[in-house]
Amino acid sequence: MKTRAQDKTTRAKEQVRGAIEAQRDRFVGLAHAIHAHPELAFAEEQAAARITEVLAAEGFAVRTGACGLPTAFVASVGHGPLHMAFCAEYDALPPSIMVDRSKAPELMEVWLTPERQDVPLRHACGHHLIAGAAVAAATGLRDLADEVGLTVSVFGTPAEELLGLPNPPPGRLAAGKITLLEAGAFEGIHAALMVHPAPTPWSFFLPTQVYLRQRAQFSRAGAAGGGLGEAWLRLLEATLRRTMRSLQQVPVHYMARPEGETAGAQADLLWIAPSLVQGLRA
Amino acid sequence: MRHCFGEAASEAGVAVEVDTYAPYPELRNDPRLRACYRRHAQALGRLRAKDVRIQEELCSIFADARVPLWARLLNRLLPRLVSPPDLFLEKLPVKFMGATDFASVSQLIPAIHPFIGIGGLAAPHSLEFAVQADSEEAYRAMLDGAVALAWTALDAATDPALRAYLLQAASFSRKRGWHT
Repeated sequence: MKTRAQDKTTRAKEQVRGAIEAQRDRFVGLAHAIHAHPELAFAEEQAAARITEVLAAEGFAVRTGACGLPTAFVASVGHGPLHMAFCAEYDALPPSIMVDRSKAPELMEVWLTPERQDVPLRHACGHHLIAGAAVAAATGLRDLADEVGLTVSVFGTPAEELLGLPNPPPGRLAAGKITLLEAGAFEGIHAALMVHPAPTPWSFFLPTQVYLRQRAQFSRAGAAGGGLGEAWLRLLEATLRRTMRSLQQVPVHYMARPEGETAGAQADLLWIAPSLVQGLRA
Repeated sequence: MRHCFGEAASEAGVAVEVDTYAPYPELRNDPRLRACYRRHAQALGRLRAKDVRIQEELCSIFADARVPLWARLLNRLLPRLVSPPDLFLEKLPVKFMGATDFASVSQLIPAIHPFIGIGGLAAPHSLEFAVQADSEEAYRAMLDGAVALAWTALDAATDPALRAYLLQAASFSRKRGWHT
């Protein structure tokens, strides 16, 4: 009995792999097209359109603009009681926007955004591969889903890179998956799977860090347009550095200084440390 | 920490408005799904232990005179006992750290977030990584990752114990108030 069940599983696995390999060019083409048109967090319109087009053609029921996010989607196939979700990401970011993290957790360089604005948008975190893998895995399971009692979904989750961007979109304070979670999009999902590209040829698991970002807008009452002069900016930067040094947790931080004497100053703190989230909630 | 900006602003005598973004918590890989994925990654030749370099690494370690003779002998006799295949699995030739909003998902429902190697040594978020991510090797990794994920989902569906565990574990509750 057991061997028969094992044979069945082996055959099912080969069928899944066969289905993925048979459409190899399509998935690679999809990922390559997303790579060729990098789009910033929450603005991944072309990428979301491309992915949902492929999934709709494969027979998935597609819901676009999920939970009020225009570039989020949920695509499902099958009617089984066990609901597995594959998370796709497809946002790009300018390369090297993050400071040299090999020195963490010491205080890292302070850099000024205006000097870096010529950095082009690229898929520097390889999220097009995450999208391609999610679509391929879900499509590979499609024909078997009902037979093995599965519902298979692809979750299109925009803006994974929100916290690391030099200029995050205004008004968006939560990354795509967090917004979807809060809106209940993951309700009824039994497990969520994704795979992320990394250097080396190997596959592995690695713990991730806790990130917390705060952005401050400084202004001076009475000044023209609430702006700050050069002297104020210097004072502010020195004070910020001193305040942060006096804290136990040392953040990675950078500070943006818009040009001109009258502009207000904007500062960002990106904290990388465990136990910060608990501290924030407490 | 929360008052860092406020203190700086009051010392400098300016007004401040602070936006706090939803934090990325720690990633939690479900141990059962993780074991499934790992088995499949091994079947697809994606575990580092299969590489010759790991053997060289082990040889150099055990050739060291500081390693006791009994350990070297034992390693010769029972290599898998002294150096299990997973020993060097998490050791990477490059520094690689990051955070992800998927961690929030993983805190609430069983989840895995494995990494799949696309070759090269460039760290993510570099221009070199963006170029490498469009290579033939990268797309091969993408498809291998897809197969391993799909097989993991298939295991979840067909392994009675795993299936029961996942169906029970779905005590999902909405997560609110990250910015309190």
